[in-house]
Amino acid sequence: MDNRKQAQLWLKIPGTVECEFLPFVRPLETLCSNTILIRTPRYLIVMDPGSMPEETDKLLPALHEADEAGKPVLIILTHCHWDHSRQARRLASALGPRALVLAQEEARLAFQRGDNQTSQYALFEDSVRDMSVDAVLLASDPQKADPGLPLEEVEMKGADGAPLRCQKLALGEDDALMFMHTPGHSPDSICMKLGRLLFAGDTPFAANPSVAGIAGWDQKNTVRSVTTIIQWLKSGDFEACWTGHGPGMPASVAVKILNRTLDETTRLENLIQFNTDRMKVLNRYARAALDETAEMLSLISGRLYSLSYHLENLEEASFAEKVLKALNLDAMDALLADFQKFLDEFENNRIFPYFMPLRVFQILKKMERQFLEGDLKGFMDPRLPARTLRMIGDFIRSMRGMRLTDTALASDPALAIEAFAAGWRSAKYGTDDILNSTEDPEAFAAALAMRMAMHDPVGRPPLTLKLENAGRKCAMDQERLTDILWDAAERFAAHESEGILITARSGAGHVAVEISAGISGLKDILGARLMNYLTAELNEFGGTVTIARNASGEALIIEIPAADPAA
Amino acid sequence: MKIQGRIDAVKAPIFEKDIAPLLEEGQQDAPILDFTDVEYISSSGLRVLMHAARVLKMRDRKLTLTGVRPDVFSVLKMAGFCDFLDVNRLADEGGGI
Repeated sequence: MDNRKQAQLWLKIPGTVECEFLPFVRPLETLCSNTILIRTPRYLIVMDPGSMPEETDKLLPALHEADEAGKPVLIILTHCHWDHSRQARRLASALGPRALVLAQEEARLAFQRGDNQTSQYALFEDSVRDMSVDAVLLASDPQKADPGLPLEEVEMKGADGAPLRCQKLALGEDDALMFMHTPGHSPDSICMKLGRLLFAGDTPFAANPSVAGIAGWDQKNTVRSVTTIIQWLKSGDFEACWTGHGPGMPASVAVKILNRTLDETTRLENLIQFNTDRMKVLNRYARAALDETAEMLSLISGRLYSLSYHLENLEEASFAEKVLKALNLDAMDALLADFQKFLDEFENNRIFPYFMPLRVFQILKKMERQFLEGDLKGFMDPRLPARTLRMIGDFIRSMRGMRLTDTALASDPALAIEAFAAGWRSAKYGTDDILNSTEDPEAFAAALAMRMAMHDPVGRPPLTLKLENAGRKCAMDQERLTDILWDAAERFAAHESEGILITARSGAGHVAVEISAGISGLKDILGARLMNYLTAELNEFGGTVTIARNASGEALIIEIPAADPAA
Repeated sequence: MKIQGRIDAVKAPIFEKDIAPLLEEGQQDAPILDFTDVEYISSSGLRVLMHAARVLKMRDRKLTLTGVRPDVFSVLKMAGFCDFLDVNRLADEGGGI
């Protein structure tokens, strides 16, 4: 959009006499917040200058065109995060002494103490060393507020009835801008009210993945602030709400988003802090989870194709077609191919690492929906989609900052191994269904499909178990442990192992499970995708996975912290 | 015929077009696809293989894959594709197949 066109889009602010605004909306996937320019009788206001120099450059012509009289310019930060504040000083310099940077007191303190964590500058490999705030809003001690701006204290209460810091700045004879302290997303987050518009910053996104759990994030304050904002928006005082990212929205839509944020935030307890190190871990986990989900999808789709092939050969064409519609394979495959394009760009350093886990999160959420909407019952061993859904669900929980050890029940590996062995050794289907359905062609086709679907194409070599862990529990739950045993054992069987040995033993602070099949070359047999996934999954439980030589070949060894390390 | 790279949703239509001449009526030999350089096969790629297997079966022929990497072999085997394709692993060929 050229600047002239933007200059024509100044909009009257509803509920004001003389104020207009011009929003610069940046796409959600960029690393730059929205900027809102506001034209008032006394000031020009720049709400959140953003992080990208090229975006700031687009503001200047609009500001010059809007300002014939050289009014003071107030550059106001909804909070100090990098994507909102980075260009504040550069813009202030370009505008000269008439420009002031304003932010809540905690923002000034973060910049003063060089706090690259709370400001999120570290996450973007940057430093706050050249950042500063000229005038403080909503200072904890009103007596210590910066002189120079005619800020007026306003008494206000939050939704819980407790006092909420609020100030008012007159913008002319008739209009005033209100500042409300709404911490939670960050300690310095503020909301602003002008006429019938609410500017809510990033608080509505406080429960998002890669946002919840960042330095300075606070669950209780988020709940309090979001509850209060919902109350404001439902009061009838507001027509619309503008946030830090994406387009503005009617107040009723904002209420829906905030209700969801509130609901999610109340569930986000004991979060893992999201910082540069965690971002690196999630990057590896994201790639591994997506690759292994893709592999599982190949396997699931392959089984469906196989089943339909055999049914067609048996002249059950209509049932064969039904099998292929059990899951929207094309849609899922298209999602994965789309990611491949993203990956090419990422590997050419055209995409910042912050976006890798987020993109995978979005894709896996869509794949999860496809799996839940599909109907694989009767066409597949239910273990395969269940494993895939657990894999996707675990990554989604990790992205939300949750600890998998908080949701998994500690388990005794010996019990997981015995449960796996019972499944491995059992007959997967009986003969009753097929015998009882010979009179009904459709029921017969279904029973036939089920029987063929449960056919195990890899065979089941005999199992030997050596359980030496003496009932000691580990941090991983039984389902996930069993999943890993199936992952490995099926691949061993596919490569014609003649027998599988599983041992569990107790170590110092951990429990180890070893799976071997008298064969070597496990790295290739298990494949890089599975190994990367298991490494990432075990890492979330504080464990490790390795391949080591043993007497009869090689073994896959997983070590998981003991649930009671001192025992 | 040598097949290369990832056979995903983007590459599967190209793969399908490439192998189409091998499936035409009048072809005397059973087709052989060299999978040595195939590092990943997606759902779309498996569908192309299944379609090829079905077309060839009508003429009593079978599709053969050679040089299949261990991880791709695992997927084909676990998906049941070894029941209707001749799948030769890279390691098997080292043994002289």
